[in-house]
Amino acid sequence: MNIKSLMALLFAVAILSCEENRRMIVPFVPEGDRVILLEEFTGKGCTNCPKGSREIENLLTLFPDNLVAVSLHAGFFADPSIFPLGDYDLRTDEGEELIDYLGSPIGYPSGIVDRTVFNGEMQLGANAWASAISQYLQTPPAIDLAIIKEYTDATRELVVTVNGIGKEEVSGDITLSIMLTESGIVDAQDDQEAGGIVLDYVHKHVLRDMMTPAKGETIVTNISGGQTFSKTYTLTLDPAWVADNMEIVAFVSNVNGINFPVIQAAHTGVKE
Amino acid sequence: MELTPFNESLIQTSIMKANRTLITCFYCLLAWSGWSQEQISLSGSIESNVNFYMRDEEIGAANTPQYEHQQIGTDNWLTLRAQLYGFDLGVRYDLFANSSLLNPTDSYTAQGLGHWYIGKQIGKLYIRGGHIYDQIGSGAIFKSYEERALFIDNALVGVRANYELSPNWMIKGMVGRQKNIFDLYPSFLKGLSIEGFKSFGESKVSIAPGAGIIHKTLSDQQMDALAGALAQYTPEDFIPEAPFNNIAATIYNTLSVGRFTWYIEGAIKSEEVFFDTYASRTLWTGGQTIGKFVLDDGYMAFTSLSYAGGGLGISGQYKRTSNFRFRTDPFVTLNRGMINFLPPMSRINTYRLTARYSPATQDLNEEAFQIDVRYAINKNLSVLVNVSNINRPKEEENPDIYSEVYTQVTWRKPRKWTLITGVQYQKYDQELFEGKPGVPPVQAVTPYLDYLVKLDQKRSSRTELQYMSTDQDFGSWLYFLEEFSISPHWIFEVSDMWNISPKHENGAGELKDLHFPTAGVVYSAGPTRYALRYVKQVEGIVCSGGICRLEPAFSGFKFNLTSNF
Repeated sequence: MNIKSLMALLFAVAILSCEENRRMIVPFVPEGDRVILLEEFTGKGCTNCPKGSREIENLLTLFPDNLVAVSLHAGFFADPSIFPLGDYDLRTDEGEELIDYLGSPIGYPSGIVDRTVFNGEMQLGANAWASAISQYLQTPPAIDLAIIKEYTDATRELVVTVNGIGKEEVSGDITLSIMLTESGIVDAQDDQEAGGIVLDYVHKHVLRDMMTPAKGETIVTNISGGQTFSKTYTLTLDPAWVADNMEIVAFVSNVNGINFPVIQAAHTGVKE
Repeated sequence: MELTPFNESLIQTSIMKANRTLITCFYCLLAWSGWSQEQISLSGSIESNVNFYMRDEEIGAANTPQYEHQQIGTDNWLTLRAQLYGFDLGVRYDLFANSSLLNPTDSYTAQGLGHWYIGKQIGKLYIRGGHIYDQIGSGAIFKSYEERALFIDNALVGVRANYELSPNWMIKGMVGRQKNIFDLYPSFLKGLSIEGFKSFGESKVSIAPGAGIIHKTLSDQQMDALAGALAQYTPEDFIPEAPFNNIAATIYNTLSVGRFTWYIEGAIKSEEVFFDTYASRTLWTGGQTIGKFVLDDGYMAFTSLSYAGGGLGISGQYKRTSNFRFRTDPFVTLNRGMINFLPPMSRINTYRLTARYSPATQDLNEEAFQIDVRYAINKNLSVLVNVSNINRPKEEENPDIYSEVYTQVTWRKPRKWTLITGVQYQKYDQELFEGKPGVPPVQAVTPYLDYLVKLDQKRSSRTELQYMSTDQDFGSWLYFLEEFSISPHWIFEVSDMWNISPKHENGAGELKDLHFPTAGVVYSAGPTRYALRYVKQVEGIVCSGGICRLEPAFSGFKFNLTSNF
C-alpha cells in the first residue's frame, strides 16, 4: 500500500473513530402565558389527515393552556367536487383565502405554527408541529390578549371584544384576526388508519367563519409597552352551527413586509 | 393566485444570490478570455416546457391556480458549459413560472441559477467546486442527480477532489451541503470513496472493487427541531438522546469472468434518528397513530449476476433493505432531501399501460428479486421473460407487495417491419404504494403489441395497442397509439386511453367510460426538437411517507423544446 492509500485509509478511520456528545432529549414541560396558534390544512378526501387531527389532540393534551388549533378545510383535498364525501362542504371563503395567503401545502396534512418559518419551512408536516410549538413557547408574548364575549341564544348573536396590551415595543402593523371554530361535526372522512372512509367521523376545530377579514384587520401600527387596544365585532351564528361546540379564536400578528408572525393567541368557548 | 409573502421572500433571496453568482462567473469568464487570447470552447443546452391549461372538470383537471386563472405554466433550464485553460465552467439558469412541478396542486414561481461549477485538472488531481452530481457505487449511500420530471435536483453544493492513484485506481473526496431548490439544506455532508480496476492477464477475469463512506452532521438548527419533536414523545416512544452525526458506508465489487458478471454491494448506516412511516406511536391522549421518529441503524445488500453469450442473456438481482432511509433532514418527506438512491427491483416498463403501476422502493423494509432472461432464437426473433417480486419481510400481514411477470417477443423483418408483443401480469399493493386505505391489491393482465413498419426510406408507421384487464382501481383500460414519422424531421402521433370498463366513480357518483386522448406533432431539426401535444391525462394520488400528493389530471396543450448547441 502506498502512502496515498494509507492517508485515505487513515482519513476514513479518523472519521469513524470520532466520538461525539449526543443531544440529550429532555421532556418539555410547558410554562408561561404564551399561547401558540396551529393552523392545520385538511380535507375530507385526505386519507392521512386524521393522523394530523390525532396529533392535534395529542398536542392539546400536552399543551392544554398554551395551544389553540384551527382546522382549515381548504384546497384540493377539501373540494367536494373531487372528493364527494359525506353531507357537508366544510370549506369557507376565508379558508380558501388563507391557503392562498399562507401558501398551499405540498402534502396534507400540513400545519402552520404561529405563521412563522420553522427549520426553513412555513408549512410543516405533523411530525414537526410539536417542535415548533415548544420552541415558540420559550418566547414570552409581546402582547397580552383577552376575549370578552356575549352570546344571546334567542338571536344567536355573538358579540366579541378583544382587549390587548403591549408588553414590549413592537414595530410594524399589528393585525387582529378572530376565527370561529366548531367541533363535534359528524361527517364522512377518508382515514387511512381506520381502513378507509369513516362515515361518522367527528371533525374538530373546523373553521366556520371569521369576524375579521381573512388576513386580519390592522388595529395599530407600532405598539409600545403598556399601550392598549380594544376592538368589538358582532356576528349572527348560522343556524346549522352548534353554539355549544363552538370556540372563539383570536390572535394578533406582527405584519412587517413579507413576514407576519403571530405574537399571541387566545381562545374561549362561545357559550362556556 | 397572488404570491404568498413566504414564497416571495424565498424568490427574492434566490434571485439576489443567483444574480451575484452569475455576475461573478460572467466576469471571470470574460477576464479569462481576455487574458488568454484563447478561444473559449462553449456548449450548452436548453429544455423548455410550456403547459397551456384547459379546464376539464369531468376528468378532474380543475381547481388549481393554473386552471382557475393562470392558464399557462412553464419550466425552463438553460445550461452553458465552457472549457478554458483546463478549467471547466458551467452554469444553468432555471426558471419556473406558474409551475406545477414542485406542488401539483399549487403554482410555483421562481428563477435563478440552479447549477454552477468550476473545475480544474492539476496533474493527477481534479478539483471541482459548486454544484456536483456524483454517486458512490450504485448510489446506495450517495447519489446526487437531477430528475426534472420529478423535480429532483439534489446536487451536492461544495467541493470535490478526485485523485488518480494509478491509471486504474481513483480516490475521491467531497464536502458540501445538499441543494434545496435555490437554497441549501443545513446539514453538512462529507464523503470519501476509492474505486479501482484490475484484470488478471489473459484469463478474461477482472475485478472492479470500490468502497465509500458518507458522513452527515446535522446542524444545530436541525437538531433543535428534532429534539423539540422528541421531547414531546410519551414514555413508550421516548428517545433519550440523538446523535448529530451518522455514517453510511459501502463496499462493492464487480467480478467479470468470461461471459459472467457478478456485482455485489453491502452498505451499512450507523444509528441515527429517522422517521419510520410504519411504526406505531402512543399519543398523550392514549390513542395510537402510525409514524414516529426512531433511533436505529440500517443496512442494504444488493447483488446481481448476469450471463451474456450465444444469443442468451440472463441476469438475476437480489436486494435486501432494512432501515436504509438516509436524508439530509429528518423532517423532509416525499422526494426531498434524499442523499442516497436505492435501485428499484422491478422492470422499468415504458408502454403506457404496462407502466401504470410502478412500485416505489421501500427504504425501510424490503426484500426483492428480479430475473431477466432474453434469448435470440435467430437474428430476427427473440424472446424475453422478466419475473420480479418485492416483499416486506418484517411485516406479518400482507408481506408480498408486488409481483410481476413480463413476457416479450420481438420479431423483425429487416428493413421492413418490427413487431413487439407480449403479456404482463402484475399484482400491486395499491394500499401501500399509493396510501389508499382498504383498497384491494390491483391484479392486472396486460397484453400489448407494438408494430413498426417502414413504408419507404423516410416514412414509417408505428402502432401500439394495449389492453389492461383489471377489476380494481379504475377498472380496465384500452390504449391505442398511432405514430407516423417522416424522417428526419416529423413525427405525428395520436393516441387514446379509454377506461373501457370503469370501476371508479367520478365526483357525481357515476361510472363513466372516459377517454383520455392525445394528439401531437414533433419536429426535429438537427439537435433541436420541438413538440406540441394536446393531452388529456388521467389523475392519480400518490402517498408516500404518510404524506399525500396529487399527480393531477391534465387537460390542455404541452409544448416542449430541447436543444443542444
